[in-house]
Amino acid sequence: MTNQEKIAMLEEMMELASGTLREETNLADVEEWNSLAKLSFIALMDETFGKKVSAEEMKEFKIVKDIVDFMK
Amino acid sequence: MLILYLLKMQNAKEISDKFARYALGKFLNINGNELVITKNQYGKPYLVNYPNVYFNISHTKGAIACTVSDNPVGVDIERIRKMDLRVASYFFSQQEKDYIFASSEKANQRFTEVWTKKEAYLKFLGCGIKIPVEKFNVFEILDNELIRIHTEYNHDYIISFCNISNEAPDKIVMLDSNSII
Repeated sequence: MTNQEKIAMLEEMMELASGTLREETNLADVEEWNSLAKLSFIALMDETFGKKVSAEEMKEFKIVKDIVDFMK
Repeated sequence: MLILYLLKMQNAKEISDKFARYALGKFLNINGNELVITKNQYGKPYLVNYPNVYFNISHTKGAIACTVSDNPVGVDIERIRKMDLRVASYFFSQQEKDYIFASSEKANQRFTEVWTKKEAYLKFLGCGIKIPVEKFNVFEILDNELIRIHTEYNHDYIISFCNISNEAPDKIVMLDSNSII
C-alpha cells in the first residue's frame, strides 16, 4: 500500500475531501482528527493491519506522515 | 447553575480560546479577556482566579460548545454522521451496543449519543482518557444519583454534558460569531 493510499484511507475515515491531507499536514490543524477519529483509527489498524495502537502512541502523532509511517 | 453556550461556524476550533473567554465573560458578567486560564496536569482548562467556576469546551466540524457551571463539568459535541459502527465492538459495553444496534434506523445517531456521553463523563473526571472507554458503561453512570449526564440534540449535532449538579435551570445560549470575532 502506498503512502497516498494510506492517506486516502485516513481521508475517508475522517470524511475529508480527497486531497485535503498531505504528509506534512499538521494534525493540530485538522479539526476532524478528534476523539472519534482516533477510535476509528484504532479499529482500522486492528482490522486492516492487525496492529494495536495505544493512546500514548497516538499522542506522538504530530503530522500525517507520523500516522502513515505507523500504518504497516 | 449550568449554562451551555453553543456557536455554529466553520473552523470553530480556531476561535476556541476567544469563544471560551466570551462565554465565561457572559457567565461572570466581566470582560472574559482578563481571565487567567490554565490547564491541569491532564490538560483540562480551569480559571485561576475563580476556583468555584468550572468550564469545559468541545468542538467538532462546524460547531463549538462551552459549558460553564458552579460545579465540575465535562462536555462533548459531535456532528451526527455516518459512522463505522464496527468501532462500537471495540469500545462499547454490551448494554451500550444493545442500545446502538436496537434497530438499523438511527444507529449512527445512537452511536454518537453514547460516545458523547462517554466523552463528557471522561472530561467531567478531568483526567483525560486514562480510563479505557470500553471499561465503563454510560447506562450504569446514568443510574448513579450523584452524577448526571444530559444530552441535547441540536439539528445535526449532539451535545452531552456531565456534572454533579441537579440545580435547575440549565440554559442553552446560542452565540453569534459576529459578537465573538
